Amino acid sequence: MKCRSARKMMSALIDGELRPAEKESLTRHIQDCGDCRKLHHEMLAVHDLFTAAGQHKAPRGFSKKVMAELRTERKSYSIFPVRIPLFLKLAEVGFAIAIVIVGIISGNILVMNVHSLEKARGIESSFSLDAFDPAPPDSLAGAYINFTEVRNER
Amino acid sequence: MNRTDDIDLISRFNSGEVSAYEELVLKYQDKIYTLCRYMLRNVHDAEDAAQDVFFKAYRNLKDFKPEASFYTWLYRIGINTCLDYRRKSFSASSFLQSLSGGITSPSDQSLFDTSPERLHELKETRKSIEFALAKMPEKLRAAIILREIEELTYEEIAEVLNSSIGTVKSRISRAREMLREILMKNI
Ligand SMILES: [Zn+2]
Repeated sequence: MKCRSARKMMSALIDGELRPAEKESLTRHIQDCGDCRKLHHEMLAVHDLFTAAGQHKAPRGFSKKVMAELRTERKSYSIFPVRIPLFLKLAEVGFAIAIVIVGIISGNILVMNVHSLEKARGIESSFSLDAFDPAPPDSLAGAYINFTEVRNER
Repeated sequence: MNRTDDIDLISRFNSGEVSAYEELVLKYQDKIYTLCRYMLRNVHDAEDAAQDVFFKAYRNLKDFKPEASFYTWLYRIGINTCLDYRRKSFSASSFLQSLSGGITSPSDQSLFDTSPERLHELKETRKSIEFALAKMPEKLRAAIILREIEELTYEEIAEVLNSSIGTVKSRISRAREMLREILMKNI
């Protein structure tokens, strides 16, 4: 075995992740090669440092805090205490889109109706005498009409 | 980490028994907190991140596939949450804390029943590990923590990191080489 491949496999040796044949040839190389033996010792020292560092303990009351937080979260979702399935969410979105579409269409119909109403009024008004505005009473023409009407009544 | 126990707890939770989730939290809180401590170095960020991991897991537990292991799934959420924390919340407090070399965590106080020398030694060891880990690229750091601290196999780490066993093997090897260079000056 060459030093280069020995270096590559050294970490897996520490982790016990080598096949028996690989392990055997690497161990033999480490015994024979001073440089690789030194490297192996140093890697083991790092590994031992991790072992010594070990695991931390979660802060006191950690799980209680987590559960309390989740309880308040559940309360804030109390309108839907059960998680809404995806298809219902999609249905909700679909419903919203449908309302918008209905709104647009009905709006158009309304506008069309106003237009046709105005058109109808236009036709109606073209036959009606009301189309001619009576002269306002305070205008000169109005005063004249008033005067003649009064005279006619007499 | 018993797989059948986890599956049993999850199915109890999914059928409405919320207390089953607390059992899962109790079972994994030390492991997830440890992961966050070594990934983030900062005591307060680590606690917040660890809590977030369990919130996220709670919200997504219904989507969890029992074919996978719960703990590798949880570790994956843990790694991703820590990476998010590192990107988002490099707060002023964590910056100051990293300058002063960290502060005592509440959990460290539970270690006071051992001798002061032992405690001091442990603190120094952890400090040097945290110091070295902080100098490493994220991918290497995650892989070596899962191996050395959480003691997962290469196969489990590959599952957590969603990568191949070959990639995991080479990341761990590179991480060890780097750690050796950083730490040998202190050992
Ligand atoms: Zn050699």
